[in-house]
Amino acid sequence: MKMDDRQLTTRLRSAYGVDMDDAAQRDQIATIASVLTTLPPESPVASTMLERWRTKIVALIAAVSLASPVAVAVAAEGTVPGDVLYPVKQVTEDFRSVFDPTISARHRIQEAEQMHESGHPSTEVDAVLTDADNAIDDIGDPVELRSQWAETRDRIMMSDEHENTPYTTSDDVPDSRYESEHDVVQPSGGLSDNATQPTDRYPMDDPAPHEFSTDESSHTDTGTEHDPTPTPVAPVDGGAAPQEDPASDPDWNQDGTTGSNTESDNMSPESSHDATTDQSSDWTTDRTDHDWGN
Amino acid sequence: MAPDPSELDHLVDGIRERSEKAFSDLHRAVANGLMAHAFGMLRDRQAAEDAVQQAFLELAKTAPSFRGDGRALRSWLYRAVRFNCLDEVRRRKRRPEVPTETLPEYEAHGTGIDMNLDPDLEDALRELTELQRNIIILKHVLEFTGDEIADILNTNRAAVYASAARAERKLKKLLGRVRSHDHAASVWVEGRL
Repeated sequence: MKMDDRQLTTRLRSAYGVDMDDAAQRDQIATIASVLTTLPPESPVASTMLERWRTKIVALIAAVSLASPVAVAVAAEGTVPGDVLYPVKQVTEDFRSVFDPTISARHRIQEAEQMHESGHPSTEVDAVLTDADNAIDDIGDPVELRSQWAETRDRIMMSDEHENTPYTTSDDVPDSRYESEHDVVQPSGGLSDNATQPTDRYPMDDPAPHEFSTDESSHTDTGTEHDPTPTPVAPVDGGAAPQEDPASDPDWNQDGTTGSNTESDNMSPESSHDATTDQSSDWTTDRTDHDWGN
Repeated sequence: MAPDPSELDHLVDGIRERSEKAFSDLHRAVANGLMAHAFGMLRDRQAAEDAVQQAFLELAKTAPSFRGDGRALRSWLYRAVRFNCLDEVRRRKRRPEVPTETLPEYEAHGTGIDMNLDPDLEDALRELTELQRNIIILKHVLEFTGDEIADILNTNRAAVYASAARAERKLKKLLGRVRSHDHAASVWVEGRL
């Protein structure tokens, strides 16, 4: 014989449907009342305020939790290699590259410029330029980015602070000696515009302080453009050459002569004379426009 | 048996303000249900009354911070009673056994196990888990809905329905077997006569 729900309920109620005695109920209510009088009064307004503040605090924590990653990502945008937040930038870059494949290349170019302007070592700047180069290659070498990269590279390479020239040959790099305030000797024998009067160091009675060699043996006409490296020789009267010790200059051979393809090789005595007398030669301008300009 | 929770809504503000009248009205409204709930777990009238009293005292202490309506208030009290009963069960397990000779005689509503219990039902309920016993009492004795039981026991409605179904099936099977055995015994006795 199986029991149904109603029978089960009836049997459970008859066994457990107990009520509290009236006497027990009165005792309990009295006890509760006595306890209530001992408890300190607490305004429900206070609990409501607590609740209101709790809601605000929870909202604040939630807002901070959501905003913090965004703030860190934004702060990491302007970082360069070596910065604390730079890894964050790399992570966000990976995600953004899904939608914009050029993001890595553009970032590397910007970083190279930033690092150069902030005075980072040129080796680090060059490494970032290399990364930019590779990134541009990875996305198919777009013309616009490539030209932007080339402009950035040239700007960095042509600056005074940059020392290394990994992307150009040494012949293409301007020698800082020609841009110094003194001792700027142009291959044509003239002085640059910013040079002081030669009489400051070489009195006018010192004849031909910047005479170039006219030795036919050193002529090697290669048909190339003028090389800015001068070939100073001893003055005619046997006076000391105005240049530094040739042995200490890597551009000079040990015997005091230059290698081939020097400016002096292509200069005739007449041109040397003209250049010496004409200090406003526009050779520098021509030279810059032709070889260094890009 | 359980009061409509909406009847308790008007008491909530008074409870928060620790009004003596509100506590008195609340006690009269829910004390019997709480008593049955505690008695189902402890099978001890005095211990059940203590569990109910303790729950009201805890409510008095925390009343100002109470949030919710009448239904939440009632569920809070049932949960408090349940935890008090579980504490009592744990205390009983730790308490050393007392020799039977030293026990005082049972009274109808005194300390000790209530002697009016149905022994077959008791045996059958012992086969259930503590949670299943709670659900059976709350459903069949106090007439709570599945949602209300889930609220009191801090579980979900599906779990309540599943546990209730399993417990009822087991109880019916056990109690039906006893009834069959009794019926067979009575037939056998009648045949002998």
